[in-house]
Order: sequence, then C-alpha cells, then structure tokens
Amino acid sequence: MITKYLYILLISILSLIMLSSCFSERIDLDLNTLENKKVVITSWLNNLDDDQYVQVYYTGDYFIDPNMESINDATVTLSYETEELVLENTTNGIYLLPSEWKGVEDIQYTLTVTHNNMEYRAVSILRAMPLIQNIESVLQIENDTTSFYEIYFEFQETAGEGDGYFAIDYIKNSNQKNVIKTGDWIDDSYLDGEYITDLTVTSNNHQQGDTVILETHNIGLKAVEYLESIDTEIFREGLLDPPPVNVPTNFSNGAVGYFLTSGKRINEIIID
Amino acid sequence: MTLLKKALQKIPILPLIALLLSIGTIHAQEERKFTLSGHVKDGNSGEELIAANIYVKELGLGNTTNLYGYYSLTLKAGTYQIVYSYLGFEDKTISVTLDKNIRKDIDLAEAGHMISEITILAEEKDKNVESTEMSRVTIDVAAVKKMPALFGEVDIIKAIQLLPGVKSIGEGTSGFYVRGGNADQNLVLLDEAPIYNASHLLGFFSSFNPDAIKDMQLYKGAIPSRYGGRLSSVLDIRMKEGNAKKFGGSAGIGLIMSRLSLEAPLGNNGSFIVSGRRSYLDVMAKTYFALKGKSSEDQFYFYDLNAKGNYRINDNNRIFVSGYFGKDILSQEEEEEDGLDLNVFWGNKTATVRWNHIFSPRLFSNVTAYYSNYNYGLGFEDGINSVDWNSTLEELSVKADFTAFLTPDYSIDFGVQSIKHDIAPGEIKVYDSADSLLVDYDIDHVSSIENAIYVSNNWNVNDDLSVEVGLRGSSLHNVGPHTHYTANEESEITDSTVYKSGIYNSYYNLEPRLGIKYSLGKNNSIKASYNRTAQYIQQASNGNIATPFDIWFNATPLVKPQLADQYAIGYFQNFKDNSYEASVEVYFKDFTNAIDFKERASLLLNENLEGELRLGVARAYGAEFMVKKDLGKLTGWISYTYSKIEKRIETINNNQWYNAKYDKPHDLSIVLAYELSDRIRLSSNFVYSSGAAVTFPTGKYFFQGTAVPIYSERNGERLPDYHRMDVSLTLKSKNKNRRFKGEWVFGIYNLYDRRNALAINFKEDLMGGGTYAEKRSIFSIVPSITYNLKF
Repeated sequence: MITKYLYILLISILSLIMLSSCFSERIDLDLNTLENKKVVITSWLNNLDDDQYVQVYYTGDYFIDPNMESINDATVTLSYETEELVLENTTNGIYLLPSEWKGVEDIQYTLTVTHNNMEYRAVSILRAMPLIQNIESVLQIENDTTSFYEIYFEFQETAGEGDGYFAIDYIKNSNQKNVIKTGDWIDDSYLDGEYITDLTVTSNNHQQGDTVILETHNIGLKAVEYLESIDTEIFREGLLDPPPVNVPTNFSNGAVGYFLTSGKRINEIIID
Repeated sequence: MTLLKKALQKIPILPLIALLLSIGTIHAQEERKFTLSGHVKDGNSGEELIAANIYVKELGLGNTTNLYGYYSLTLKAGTYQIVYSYLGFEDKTISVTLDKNIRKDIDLAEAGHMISEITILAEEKDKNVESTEMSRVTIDVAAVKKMPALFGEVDIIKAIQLLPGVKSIGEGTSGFYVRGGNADQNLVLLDEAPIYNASHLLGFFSSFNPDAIKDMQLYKGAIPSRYGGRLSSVLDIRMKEGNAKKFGGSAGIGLIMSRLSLEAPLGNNGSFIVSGRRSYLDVMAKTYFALKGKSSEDQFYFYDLNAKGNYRINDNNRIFVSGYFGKDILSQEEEEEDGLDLNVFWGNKTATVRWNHIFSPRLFSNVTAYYSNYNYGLGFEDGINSVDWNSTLEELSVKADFTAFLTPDYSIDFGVQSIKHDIAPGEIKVYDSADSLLVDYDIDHVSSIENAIYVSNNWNVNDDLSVEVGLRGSSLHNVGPHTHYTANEESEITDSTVYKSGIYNSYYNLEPRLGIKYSLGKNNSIKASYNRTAQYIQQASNGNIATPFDIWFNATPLVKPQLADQYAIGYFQNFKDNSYEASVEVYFKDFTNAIDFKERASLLLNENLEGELRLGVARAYGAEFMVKKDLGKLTGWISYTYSKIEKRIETINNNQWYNAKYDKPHDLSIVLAYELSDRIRLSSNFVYSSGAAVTFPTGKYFFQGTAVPIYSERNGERLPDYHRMDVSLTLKSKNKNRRFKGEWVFGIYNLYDRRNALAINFKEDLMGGGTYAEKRSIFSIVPSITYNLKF
C-alpha cells in the first residue's frame, strides 16, 4: 500500500515538473517578405555534357513554396578567355547555354547579369576533378533485420590549396538527389596533396541490385564555404546557434545566389 | 598614462598607511575631538549589521556602518544622545560623554511590529533621498524569500531581475543584463570572490543559497572606486557569519531540492555557519523507473555548500574564513552498447580569508585573500572512442581596503588589489575502447595579472550638498608562456610570436567615479553620477543564451580592454513619512572597444579565439521609474524601464548599428504582498517586457532544391512580448514562540499559463506546406509546495 501511494506521489510530482516544461507550437508570423526583394542568380556549370543554364528570379516569400517571381528580361552573358556568350532566355527565368557547350578545366568564367540598369557579376574557376579510384560497395549490418550498402571510394587530392570537393550518391534515375541534405563536401585545408581513402557520402540505404550514381565535383574552397553556410542556416535549432547571417554570395551589387563551376565526374556502381 | 604606469608599478602603500595611521591621534588632539566607534549588531544572532544608521541628535548628523558593521564618529568633546537604527529593528538611543575615544558595540533588537514585509530595498528611512549614492539597491534576503518563485525555490537573482534597469533574456534564466551591459559585464562577488557562472541546472536556479546570504548590494551605476574589472554592474553578496549567541538553523523541502543550514557560536568570540542544498530530480527519476521495473543511470542534479567561520582575536582584529563549493552534473547513458553516453559537469569553488584590523578608531582596514575557480567538462563515449574535455578558470587575489573616518562629514576609502588570472581553455583527451590514450591536446593556457589602486572621498559639503569623488587606476599585464598571433586588417593571421615567460603586453586605465547629491527639501533630492569602468576579462558567448561552456578570455594585444562611460541623473522623492518612495533615473552609457563575434564565428576549441572577434562601439540609454511602498499591510513596488542598447561592430550587419540580443525596450514589474493576518500572506509578481531582439528571415531563394533564407538586419525583429504572473500563499505556524517555526508556501508560477517564447525556429512542413514558424517555450503553469523550517 505504501509503495502504491509513493508511486502515485512520484508520478504526480514528476508529471508536474515534466509536463509543465518544453512546448512547441506552430505560429503565424508576418515577416514582411514582400519588401526588400533581391535579385537571385544561381548557376552551376561543369565540364560534362549536361544541361548548362543560369536562373534569374526574385527572392520569394519565406513561408510559401515555391512560386518565385522569374526575371525574363535580363541580359545574361558568360565570358571566358576571348569568348563572350549571350545566353538565351526560355521561360521561368532560365537562361540556357548552347546545347553543345561544356566547361573547360582551369578556365576562369565570368557571369554577368544585367537587369533594370544594374549589373551583377561573379567569377569562378573550373577546377579539375581528380580520378575516382577503388570504388566499392560495402555491406553494413545494423542489426538482425536491417542491413544496407554504402559506397566507398578514394582519390588523389590535387596539390596546391584552394580545392573543394562535393560528392553525392543516389539511385540512378531517382529523385533522391538533394545537394545540401544528402551530399557532402570537404576542402583541402588539412589534406592538401594527400591520397584520401575510406570516403563515403552514402546517406540512403542502398540495397542489393541497386544501380548507384556517384557524382563528384571539384567546386573550389569558396564554394565549399558557401554550401557549409547554407547547411548552418537551414539546420538551426535555436538556443545555442550563432546569430543567423546571410550566406555569402560571389555576385556583386547586392544580388544573392551563387555562380559555381566544377570539374565533374560520374561513376556508376551496380550493387550485386 | 606614464604617471599611472609608474604609480601602479611602485604603489606607495606603506607611507600612505603611516600617514593615515597618524590621523586618529594627532588630528584629534589638536581639535579636542574624540572618536566614538564600534560595531552595530543584530541582538538576536550577533551578526554585524551593514549600513545601520548612527545619528547624533544634538548635531543633526550621523554616519552608517560599513560592510563589516563598523562605525566611527569623531566629534568635539561633549555629551551626546546617539541613536542607532536599522530597518526591521528597534531604535536604540544612548547617552555618551566624549572626553576620550570610546568604543561602543551596540546590539539592536528585532522590531516587534510589522514593518516592510516585502520590500527588497532594505534602506533606512529617507536614505534613498539623503545618500549620495544612486543606481544602487540593497536587497533584503528575508524579503526575497517571501516572493513567489519558480518551483517554490527562492532565488535572489530572479528577484534582482524585477528591479528597474535589470533584464533577463529568457524564461527561467539566471543571467541578468544591467543598463545595456552583457551578462559577463556583471561582477558577481560572494564574500569578495568572483563567481564566474552563477547558475545551476542550466540557469533555472542561481548558485546562491538564500539561507546562507546576509546582504546583497547591486550597483547599476555610480559604482564605487573600490570595485572594478566589470563594465556594467557589481552584485556584492555577503554570506552570513553565523549565530554568535546560540545554536540554530533552518531547513526547507521543495519539489526540486532541499536545503539545510546550521549555525552556532565558536566559543565567546566567534561563530560559524554551514549551509547546503541538493536537487533530487535524479533520485525521483530513479525511483520512478524502479517502481516501473526499469533501471536508469541518468543523472541530473546539483549541490552547493557554503561555509563560513569568524573569530574575534581582540577588539581590533578579527578573522573571517569562508568558502563556496557548487557543482552541476548531467549524465545520460544509452541502453545500447554503442549508444552515445554523455557526461557534463560544471562548478564554482571559492575560498576567502579576511582580516579586519582597526588601526585606530578612525582607520579601519580589511585585507582579503581569495581564490576562485570555475571548472567545466564534457565527455562523450560511443562504444568505440571516448572524449573528455576539461576547462578551468582560476583567479587568485590579494586586496587591502582602508576607510579613514576623518569627520562625520568626510571619509576616505582607499586600497589596492592584485589579481592573477589563469585560464586553461581546454584539455582534450581521446581514448579508444581499451582506454588507451589516442589524443592528448591542451590548448595554450592564458595568464594575466590585473592590478588596481583606488581612492574615494565622501564629503558632505553642507546640509544639502554631498559629493563622492573617486579614482581607480587599473592595469592588465599579459604573461607568458603564450603564442601571440598577428593579424592583418581583415583579421587574418599573418604571423605568430611565442613568449616563453614574463610580461609581453600591458594596458593601463584611469577610471574616474563621481557622485553628487543636492537636497531640494527634506523629502526630495536630485543626484547625478559619472563613472568609467574597464573590463579586462570577458566571456565568449555566441548563442542566444549563455551556457556553462562559454569561454572566458583576457584582453590581449589584439583584443583591447572594453571601456564604458556612464552618465546618470535622478530625482528621488519620499511621500507620507517615507511610506512611499519614488525615483526616476535617466542614464546614457557609451561603450568603447565593444566586442562581438564575426559572422559564422568558430568558438569551440579555437586556439585563436581573438581572430573570431570584431571590435566596435555600443551605446545604451534609458529611463527607470520606480514607486515603492514599504509600510502597511500592502507592500511592494512598481517599476518601469524604457531602454535601448545598440552596437556597431566592424563587418557585422554591414557596419550599421544593430540591436543587442538583450535589447528589450519596455520592461514593467509589479511586486505586491498583502498580510491577511499574522499567519497568512499573499504575494504576487507580474512582469511584462518587450520580446528579445532576434533575426528572422525576410525571404528565400533556392539553391539546388534547398531553400536558402535571406535575412534583413541583425536582431531587427522581436520575439512576442513576454508577460507572466506568479502568486504564492504563505501559511506560518500558529505559535510564534515555539523553538521550531515552520511555514508552508504554496505557489503558482505563470498563473494564467502564458506560453512565453524562448525561441522561434523555422521548419519545413513535411506535408508540403512550405516553411512554418514554430514557437518554443519552456513553462506553462508550474505549481509548487515548499515547507520551510527555522530553529
């Protein structure tokens, strides 16, 4: 009987303490998102036979997805060495490069966007992606009922600081490719010129029979910082976070977004 | 500055003492004056009373006891009626014939009638109007105990947060922000030793056990020159000395913790007190799990222990020894073998030895040596590796303070202090599963010496005008071994120099202090003050709230000492025979070398923390209004503050002014207590303030499918307004004359269940509805029951 009363007492006290603390609730906030609209320019060009384009639009309401206001009357030019290409506007603020265009390693590219008498400019060097070596799928057994495969690989980091690598793997023809959430990145600050082993970026549980695409890029050190700062801003938890700050941009004159060029490699792995 | 440098290097303290020693003899004989001196004590416990009034009826002048209960009045030879008084005690009048120096220790008896049951501003009648000091609050611990409290646990810091000009940043936190100063700009002293982290349980409770505290003074401005080292405020807390007349004690049992204090005489010439607390959330949780047939090794508790003893060697010499030891422990063990085990601890330790010596009736001295240690650690173990991280901050100091009571209208305080700071930012050890040491990494220790010399003159020029003029000279010397990094204009490291030993960098500052009071009538006065303060050691905190793991660091060649100049003016008025007190104070504060962290600063285990800092300026201004009722059945106060605090720091917010995170312009507190009868008391608090300044996104764009937030200005938005009401009902035991006196306290924190926002986060709606805002709050209604016992 005493134990029962003690139990009830303890439950009551603990309930008082625990249940009176820590709440989360969805609230409405007016963030004045329609004011202070900024021009957004994003582009990620590479050296492969991919769709290569620049997207130009205005920043949008923070809460509402995803109808961003396109900018279709901008003049977008890509210049490098002695070339200057004027990109063709399609719709939705997409400006296409010629279909046969591919980036070339070690070339510096300048992207210029002119809109409403403002010129926004960014520069990026396309860095070569080293050869990916010793790719293998490794079985991971989590417990008696759960197992999956991870993709491991190696490569020789290019001597000379300033490189930054991005890698992601995903099931071929799937829509699991999310650069920030499932990709990973690293710069060469502490491993310049080293042969890097035991690398994996697998975040999905691959299974036997899957065909996995391993996509690797050399995006450069500054672009790694850009991805890192996006990661910091979108995974905020509140109390212990540093103050929020705008992610960096390499565009001039107040535009946001990023112009990124990379040497890219694609490897296909069949897990059997 | 060269003069100050020389002065600090060759402090002529011995000739100065010799000069002042002569004051009590030669000067008195020439003027045929004699000195009445002694201590004023609580007749019940023998504890010395701080700031008790001594009034000479015939002359209409008087003085107050100092921090050790000592007073000294030098008067012309004659017979005088001397009135001794102290709030809550019966006045005592004696007749004294001064034909020689007389030593008179006075015991005051507690007042039998109800007086000032709730006010925490334990001032003598009209003292708020008559004293030169402004922006200072003396806090009565007994009254704080009668206020409603979170979980029923009385907390002196929470009471301080209800004063005008003092703000808190989050629900339940123990940090406080005074007149635009950051939390690390408050000098929190416990028996003269600084407490570097005054919080338990991540800030829900403060480190101070109210049963062990005798007196607290908070200086928001007009900081006396004997204090230094922090920019914004001084909270000077004095522990009880213990009952010198009989064995006694007190105890309390609450939902979260219990406490016990014991005090007793040490022979005929001394006394001691020992006081401890321990929380027992962990014990309850273990019992709860045991009753459900489960086991738990999780721990989450704190304890603290205060101890103090004093011994009177003779009339002129007395020794005090006191110490504090407090620790918080939080550990969590995963059931799975390869789960992540976590172990966190932090704690303060202090030890203080003081020697009161009366050189002559007119020259009182106190020499203090103290040691303060703040230590924290963090450990992880995942079944493969374990990591231990330990960090320590130590401070060792010797100081000597002197008061020369020259005439009833004129006294001089002066003294010297030297402090050695040692900071071990982090020692990291990594072990493998066989407990073999894999990594042993110790971030460079940082040492410095801080010196100060001060003098302060307190002069009642005439019946209406009084002046307090002080000057503090302070210095900081960085001491090797240390690696000093040189940076370019972009704060990028360009070079480093290793200093193996000795002083490699010094700073010197003069800190003038000035206070003026002019009486407009018997019940009203205006006051003005100016003070400059310098701060040489500061805390690196980049999150929204302070944590136990925030790092303290010194001024260095790259990080200049922070300076603040505060100007204040106030009007003080009493009504209805001092039943009501009203005041208005306006202040402006100018910060030089204000610091903040660069955007995306990396603080954890960073050897070159100063490379993450950016310097700039800050400004704070505000107006504080207060009306207080001290007497009668209904007592309490209403205070309102309007204030702003803004910073402009290089590279942050495009070099534009921005709100500090603790900028909360409107702040209202209402504290009331009503005595229903001798046994029953109702108490209530209401607080309202603007929401804390925060940075919210004002738009977004997409990069490769990920929404990237766009922010406008730093801290340009606000959390929702904060407001809350607490109530408590106290039932005292029936028989007042019983040896054991008990009381039940029933409380409700957050009576109307306001879910005040601690933070607002932004989350993705997994159902495809875009992004939404989520408010996080800590408390809803929190009922509590506490039983207190005194014997």
